[in-house]
Amino acid sequence: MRKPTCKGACTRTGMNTRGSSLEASDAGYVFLEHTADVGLRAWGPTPAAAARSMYALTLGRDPAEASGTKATYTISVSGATWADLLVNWLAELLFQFSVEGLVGQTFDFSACAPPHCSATVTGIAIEDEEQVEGGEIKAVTYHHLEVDIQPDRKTVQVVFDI
Amino acid sequence: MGKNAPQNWRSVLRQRDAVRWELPVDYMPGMRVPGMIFADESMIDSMAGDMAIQQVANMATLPGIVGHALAMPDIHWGYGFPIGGVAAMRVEDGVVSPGGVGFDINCGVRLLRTNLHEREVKGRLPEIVNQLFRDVPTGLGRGRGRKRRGTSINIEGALAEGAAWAVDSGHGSREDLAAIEAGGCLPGADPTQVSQRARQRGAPQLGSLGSGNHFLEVQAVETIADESAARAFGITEPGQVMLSIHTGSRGLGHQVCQEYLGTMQRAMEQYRITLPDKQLACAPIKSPEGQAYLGAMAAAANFAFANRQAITERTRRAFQHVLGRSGTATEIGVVYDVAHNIAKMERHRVNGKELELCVHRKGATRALSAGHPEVPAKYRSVGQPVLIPGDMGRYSYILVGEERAQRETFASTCHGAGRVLSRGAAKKKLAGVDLVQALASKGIVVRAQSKAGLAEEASDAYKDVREVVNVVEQSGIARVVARVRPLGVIKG
Repeated sequence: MRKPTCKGACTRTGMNTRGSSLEASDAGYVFLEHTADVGLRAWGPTPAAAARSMYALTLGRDPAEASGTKATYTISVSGATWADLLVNWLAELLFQFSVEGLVGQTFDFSACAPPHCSATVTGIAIEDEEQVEGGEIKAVTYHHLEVDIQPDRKTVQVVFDI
Repeated sequence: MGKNAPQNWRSVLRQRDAVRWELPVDYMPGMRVPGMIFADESMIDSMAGDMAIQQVANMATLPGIVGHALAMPDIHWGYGFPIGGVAAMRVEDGVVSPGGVGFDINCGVRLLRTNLHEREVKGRLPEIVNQLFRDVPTGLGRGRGRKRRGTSINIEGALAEGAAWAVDSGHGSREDLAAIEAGGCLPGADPTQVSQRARQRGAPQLGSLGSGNHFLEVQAVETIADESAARAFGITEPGQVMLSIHTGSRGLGHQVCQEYLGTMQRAMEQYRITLPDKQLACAPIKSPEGQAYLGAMAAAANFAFANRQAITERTRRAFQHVLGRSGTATEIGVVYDVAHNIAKMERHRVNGKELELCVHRKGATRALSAGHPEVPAKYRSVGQPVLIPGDMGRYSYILVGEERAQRETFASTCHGAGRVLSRGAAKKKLAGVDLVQALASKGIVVRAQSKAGLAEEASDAYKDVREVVNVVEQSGIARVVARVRPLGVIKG
């Protein structure tokens, strides 16, 4: 299977680790090239980096820079495998973003391993649609999904339909 | 996926003529039918190492598939099915796959004709495009930063009745409905199968374009190739102003697909279906899961028809707002509205026998020929209009279905140009280029919510749609009626 490649065309990288007590300095993401859509590779001790990169993709900038009303909400998803858990986690965050404008900035996980992932997410609810400069994400896909789970590091690759 | 893509597909494919390439049924274990790719030689060469044709082979493994697993000339790599993929399954023992429809259920194109000539709008294009940009929400389109429309909009009627509900709610006239695929309402819609979450996501977006490759374009007829068909479609002369709307079921359809992919994965275990790609997840058409998806998909498709109907009326009002003041009586009528991401129950002849089939078109447009009872009465003598958008800097095509499509492709043809550059590569290539200014120098007025998004959708990112249309015409599955060029574009 041909993988999405960077080829020097990795459009943006993000290494933001601000605000999360669970984030180590070794966390970040990189966007991957895909003909019609956009993929990303994210790594860190939790799936927080994957969430941040998804927000960065739709906002067109680091989610920490988004402005709006402070919000705290709980995300709880199930999944039989790490792959299912990742897709369901991102899909739930995407749903909350689409419906309520919620952008997560810090993530406090109470559980994160199949079959369950639960986190208290603190962030903002954006009111101003002009902040969405990166474009709408339609869905989280299983296309080229990769999940590498190590005790202190989770690396994931996911492609979004945009 | 089943296997890696060959570096040279010519070594695998059997060339049947200049634009038909068969993928043999023994290419991969599990294929139930051969594949057929419509492409010219350069397109086949450009797919070296590409997974799109491999996805045609994967499609051919789906239970109940008949005829060929088909790929149109704008084929490119998708999720499960390739974009440009068509597959028909026997209703009796076949499956339905959300990956064969796509996340944007009933993404499609609506073409409007006006009684205006280019010279009448030329000086007022910036005004018109600005008004359209104000009146037709782009981007997320849920109203943040404008008047928030909330989630209390009752969309039951849109899900059940499609465009007719929009008309009855004051968005357009009954006459519009006669020029929409399936009259703007798919039978079998079951709103009870659409989750509350999908409704929450979609309701505030009704009447909005979205982003990505969606657009509303003011166009002028450039050339007319088939005067008789053009006349039937209300296309009278070069310079006539037309309008194209490209959008779908918005967040409602995205959420329906996302949720049913999970349902289908569980169903596959239950029905012991094994496939080479998880994104082909499916269920027997007659199973409760299959029926639930088809009911939800049809409801989402109806939402998309209602969405394009609402945008049509906003477009009419925007024109009236700008041109009405000068006393011009602008008439805007619907030429046609056709889906290119859909699964439909249709009857087709296969090996001399008429079968009831579930035809999946993912990035493919239905193309019925003259005389077919589902072609609107006013077009029945010429065939169904087929709407093929190109890119915002060049041109788009209006085709008409040919009889050969009914015999070979389950009455399907291509849907657009297809990308050649990734979004990132397009932005990199066009860094520092003022696209708005560059298009203005060609006489095209553009308004977009995102400059980055505009670069991603620039002409450079797309194939020349003419090459795709040439293959379609050469293959005899549709023929060109007219070509239109952009005058003004609004995008998310």
